[in-house]
Amino acid sequence: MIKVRGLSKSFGDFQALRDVNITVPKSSVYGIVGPNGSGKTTLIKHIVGILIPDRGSVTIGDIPVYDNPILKESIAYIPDDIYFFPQADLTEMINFYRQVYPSFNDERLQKLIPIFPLDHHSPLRRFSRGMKKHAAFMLALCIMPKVLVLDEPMDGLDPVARRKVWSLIFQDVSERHTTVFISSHNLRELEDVCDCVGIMHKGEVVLERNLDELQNNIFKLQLAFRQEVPDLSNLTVLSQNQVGSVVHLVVRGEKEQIISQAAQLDSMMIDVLPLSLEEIFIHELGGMDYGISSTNI
Amino acid sequence: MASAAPIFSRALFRKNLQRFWPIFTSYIFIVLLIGFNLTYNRRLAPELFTPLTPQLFMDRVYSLSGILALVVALFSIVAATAVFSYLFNNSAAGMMNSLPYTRRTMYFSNYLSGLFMVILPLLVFFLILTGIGIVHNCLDFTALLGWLFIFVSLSLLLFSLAVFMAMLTGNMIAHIAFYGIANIIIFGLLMVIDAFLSQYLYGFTSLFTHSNSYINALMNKLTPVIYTSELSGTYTQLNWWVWIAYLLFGMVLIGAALQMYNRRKMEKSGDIITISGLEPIFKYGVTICTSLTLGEIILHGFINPSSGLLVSWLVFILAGMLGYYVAEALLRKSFKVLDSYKGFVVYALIMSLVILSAWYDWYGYATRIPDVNQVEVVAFSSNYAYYHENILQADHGPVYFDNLPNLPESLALTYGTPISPEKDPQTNEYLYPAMANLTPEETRLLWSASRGVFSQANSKDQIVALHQYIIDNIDVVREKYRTTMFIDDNNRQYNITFDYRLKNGKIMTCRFPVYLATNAPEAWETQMLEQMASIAGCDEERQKMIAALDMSANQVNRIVLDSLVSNEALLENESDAITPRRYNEAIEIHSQDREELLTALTWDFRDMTNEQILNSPGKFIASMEISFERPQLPVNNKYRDAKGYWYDIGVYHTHTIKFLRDKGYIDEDIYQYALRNVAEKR
Repeated sequence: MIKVRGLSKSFGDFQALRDVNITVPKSSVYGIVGPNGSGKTTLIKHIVGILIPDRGSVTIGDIPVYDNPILKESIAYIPDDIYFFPQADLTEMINFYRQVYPSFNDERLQKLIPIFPLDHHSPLRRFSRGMKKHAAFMLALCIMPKVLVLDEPMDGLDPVARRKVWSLIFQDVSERHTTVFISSHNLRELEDVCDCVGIMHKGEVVLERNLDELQNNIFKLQLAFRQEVPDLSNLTVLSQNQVGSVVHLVVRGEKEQIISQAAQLDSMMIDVLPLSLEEIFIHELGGMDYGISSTNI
Repeated sequence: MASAAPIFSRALFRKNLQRFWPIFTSYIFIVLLIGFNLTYNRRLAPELFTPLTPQLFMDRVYSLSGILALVVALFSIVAATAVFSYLFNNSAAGMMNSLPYTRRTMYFSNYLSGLFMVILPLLVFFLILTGIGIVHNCLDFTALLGWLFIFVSLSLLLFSLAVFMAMLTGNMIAHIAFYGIANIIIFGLLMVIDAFLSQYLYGFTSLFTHSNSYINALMNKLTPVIYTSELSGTYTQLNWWVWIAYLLFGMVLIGAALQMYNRRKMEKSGDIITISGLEPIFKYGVTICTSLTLGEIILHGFINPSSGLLVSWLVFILAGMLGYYVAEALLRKSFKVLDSYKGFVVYALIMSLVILSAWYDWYGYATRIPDVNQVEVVAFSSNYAYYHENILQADHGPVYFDNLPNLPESLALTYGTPISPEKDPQTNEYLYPAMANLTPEETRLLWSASRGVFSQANSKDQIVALHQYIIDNIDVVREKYRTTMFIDDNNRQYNITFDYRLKNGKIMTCRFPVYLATNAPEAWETQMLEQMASIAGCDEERQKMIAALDMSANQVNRIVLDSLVSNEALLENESDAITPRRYNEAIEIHSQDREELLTALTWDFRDMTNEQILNSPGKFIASMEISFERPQLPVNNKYRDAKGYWYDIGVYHTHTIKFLRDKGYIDEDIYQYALRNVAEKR
């Protein structure tokens, strides 16, 4: 289990992380989402032991990660901007990882080679962004990680490759109980794969939930009124939009509770629909200067 | 838990060697090339075909010290930049620090791989030299091991310094620049401080004079590349403590760099300074260095350095402002830095205070004067005519007196007699005692024979009186010097220098560059000229001049007039008389005329007025070389055989010039020119 407690980090005058607390259950897929500059990558760099926290702690299985080689042997990290040694080809990088990670698994490597058909003798610097991601996944999976930390992992991958990668990740999660911590802008994708989600905004984790719990706590509510819209204060309304006699609301709360409260409003129609993760993300951050509105130039 | 982790990773070490093999292979190639030139290149080392002796072999090995020190310095920074290059790139820093290593392991693995790259070529070179020594039967293995120790110490120090600098910065260019600056920081600082004080502190005598030789020595030791490059001449007298100190300091740097690496914030990759606490030091360091260095360059290159307080102050402040904002822009990575003016204002105020304090001499630097009773001997000069500093401290270091025509016989006997009656087999020359660390008696004897060095009480009184007079009139003397921008016909520059050796052995140097009017001088100028003349022509000085001619004509082998001013130059323009338009050929004095010439010269030194002696160097006519023997000395004495000594002949050598005219050695117009000059001065 990954635990981040009271983590704060400043870069000069800029507060990148502010008292961050998250808990990632073992064998889960945890997605961290947030707008650009919200602190996701900084958080990830603390989780893999690259950065020194100003305050707070990052532990995996209650053991601090920073400067802990034994723990880091079980962590695989794929950053957004992948770095390989400038002159190296894939064979050299494989050899390097084989020497560095005692758990490097050659049997798995042989299985992955046909899945990621790459030229092993071309310099990696000549690879496209997507090919570099392939190589990084191959290396990361070969070290048999207990924790897989991925920063925008699917950027640059084509849909087929994405499916292959997710399939391999799920296999590790199900068979080896790998814990996956992932940051992504692709909320649709996270929605399909994550067990838990944390939302970051301006260096803070503003919301952390199990995805089911999250999706069961916020709904789209459609009501229709013959006359004026009555007082809606008995509902926790996050946004409101009216088209003719139909009112579209995004409401926080349990589904049954929302239905019973809506029933008291003398509405001609009550329709409760689930929100996508993307919609939840937008509405959760709506009150934090991050609301989505129609943007025209 | 971290401390239990291994401090070294073979994987990282091997990876570095795989990645950066061109560095150490090119280093090996270069030292092999140097070694080849040293031993087998006939064109560069023709003396190879003389049999190699152990000493000759080590001479050759150490003769490479200059180039090798530079090569070590260069490859130290190249290797350090390579193995720690990931620190200068955010992605690379992230990848490397996510690997399952402690920072200590990362540091030592990279450090040791870099050190290996700079030490391996030296070991290869050492083995090759050993092989050459064995093949040519000239191996002094102990001396060669000493050589290896020296260069390993230097490599460890410079590589550790380069690594330490890598910890200070997250920018590769800054890393290389910091390393370069660190290597010459002491030398550079002393240079700019020296130039700054020369600019503002009237009478400042430079930090690099002989009396400050400890500063020079310290500066060399604190600049290891320079210190090592000077080994070629001094390796037989090695100061091993210096090399041990280099080694130890290198180890201290290893520890300091490790501490910095452990605390390094990896997000600082790309920043000029990675440690926040050092940012002010960087900022104000750049400000001061730019102020002093650029200020001096602008003043000397584009503006007259004597342009006064206001202009020079403005130049230094503006140069400092440029440095301040450049440093601020580098730190912030932005050109929007004008709002940070407060720090510069503070700097400008402090700098202005320092400039004012030096300009107005709040320290009393120019008004120092010793008690005459404490002066053992004093060297006085008004025109840099003589170089006295070594002579004043002849009992504490090397000195040179082969050019003294009046060399006392006891000194000639002691230092001119070979150490051994046999010649040195390697050089086929006699070996003589080193002219250094003379006894107190010998030192006093040397003083008594050296022109410009005064040890008699009367002379010392006169010199201290002149010094006191200058101090009493320091404001007017200094003001005239600072306001006279160019030497013109109405002013003549004198560089009045007092080098006191006090009875406690200390040297005190006071220098007064002055301009004195040649036409219508003021009272203080007249007074100063009279006092300077009375010193130049005092009995002690005249005795030395005459003693330099105390020889019989039989001892003289040859007298030659050389560099004689040409007739054309004299006729065209009198001021051209000191330009190098000379007779093309030297004029030899016939043997039958030698005695008469010596007599004429002696009478000149007797008859010249004090003022004429003072002004004689400015009225040059010719150089005269007199070669004479000292037959009273033993056969093998190096001073026995004829040696040539040079005497300047000026217009005031009236007896000599008349004699030369009468005998037909020089033309009438030169004689007339001399007469005219003498008459004018009267």
